[in-house]
Amino acid sequence: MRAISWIAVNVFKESVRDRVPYSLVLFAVLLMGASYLIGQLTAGQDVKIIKDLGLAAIAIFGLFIAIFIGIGLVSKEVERRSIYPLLAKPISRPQFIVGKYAGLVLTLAANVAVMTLALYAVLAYLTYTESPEFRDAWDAPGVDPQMLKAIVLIFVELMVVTAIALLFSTFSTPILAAALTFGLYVAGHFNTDLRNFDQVVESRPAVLLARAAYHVLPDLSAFDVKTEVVHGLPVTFGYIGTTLAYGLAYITALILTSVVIFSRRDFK
Amino acid sequence: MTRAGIAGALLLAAVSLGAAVALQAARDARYPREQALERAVMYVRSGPALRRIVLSFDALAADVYWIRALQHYGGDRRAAQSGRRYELLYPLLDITTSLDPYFTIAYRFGAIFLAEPYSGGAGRPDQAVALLRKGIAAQPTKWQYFHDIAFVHYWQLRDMHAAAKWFRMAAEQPGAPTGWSRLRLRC
Repeated sequence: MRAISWIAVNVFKESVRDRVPYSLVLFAVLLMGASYLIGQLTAGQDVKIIKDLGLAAIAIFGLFIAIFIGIGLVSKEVERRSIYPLLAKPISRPQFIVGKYAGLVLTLAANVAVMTLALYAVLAYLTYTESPEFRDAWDAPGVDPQMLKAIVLIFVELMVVTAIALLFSTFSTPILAAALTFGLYVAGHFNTDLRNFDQVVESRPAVLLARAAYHVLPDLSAFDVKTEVVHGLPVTFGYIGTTLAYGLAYITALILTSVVIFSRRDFK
Repeated sequence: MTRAGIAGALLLAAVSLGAAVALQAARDARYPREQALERAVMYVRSGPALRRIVLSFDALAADVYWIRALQHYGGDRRAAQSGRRYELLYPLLDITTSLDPYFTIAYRFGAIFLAEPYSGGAGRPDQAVALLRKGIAAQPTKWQYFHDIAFVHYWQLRDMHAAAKWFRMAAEQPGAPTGWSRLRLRC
């Protein structure tokens, strides 16, 4: 456990040194600029647009961090040959993989937390400056705690993407790993089409194959409740709980597969 | 690189940027570009197709299309009489509401823009009703949409019976103001 936390802290420090937090500044500037510009461009609903923009920015910036740092977690150590002194230390290969993953999740958590605070700060300012009559027309309150439901699900989705990037990082080059991770991210958002394949195709084997792919590929569209939350529509804790449990189970499967691949890899 | 070299490079960069800005301004003044033609292009007309393309960012894409619809309406309304066409208004609103089916303002304001008689609006009350019906399909108990359809029938189509029917339906929805039932009687 100590070795895992040691590796995780080092990955976090390395991410900070790689200037990942600068994305936060960019996010904050984007959000502040948008809140002013949108007021000039749209007729009402600026709070909706700021929420949409904020949640989308958290998802996009998080995706960039998850993919572009995730793909280098293992392959960079191999390229630099720093893997040899690392594995010579009393660190097992599973500890190395789990520690690397935990470190990147820590980086993501810090990023998402700061971006969430920035979003709530802009919404609080908007709520404070608008008249009560105007606020009454909003679908949901400006500073709405329900938005945390969407943010938690975005975070777990990013954890899944990180685990995918880590898996590909254990056996392929960074460019290929980025392409494969992004491909799975896109496929994961079309996953529900595979479930409903029987509505467009009659062939039984094709339907079974599609159903199998539906279960094997990550079901990322399930993590998207942004629209519901922004419009104040109900998102039950039961749905969130089962989706979180699905995400954690999928991450466990990916990490275990990464551990198996990495444990069998020969670095000679 | 020496300190003088860095200062020289920065100065040269600033001069180059200034020259680029001056050239851009001179070119725009001499060869004005036709903006109306650029504005009238819609590359993707299918809401469901666009919804797939934008992955999980459909609400944000809806915001972009809503702002585009507003700019299109405002731009055409402010244009000279001959330039007022509003030909992209309904497709833009249709895509906006396909990307975000709960976008209340897009349905309600959009219906006003469509129903308003030409040249203040598109003069298409039929499209206004179609847009609001789409809203009802997404949120079947939203009394505001029933009420807005009633108003389109009342003001633009002058169909009092249809207006009365829609006011009655609006009054029957949960959360509707109690005064609507009296409005129906006056139609």
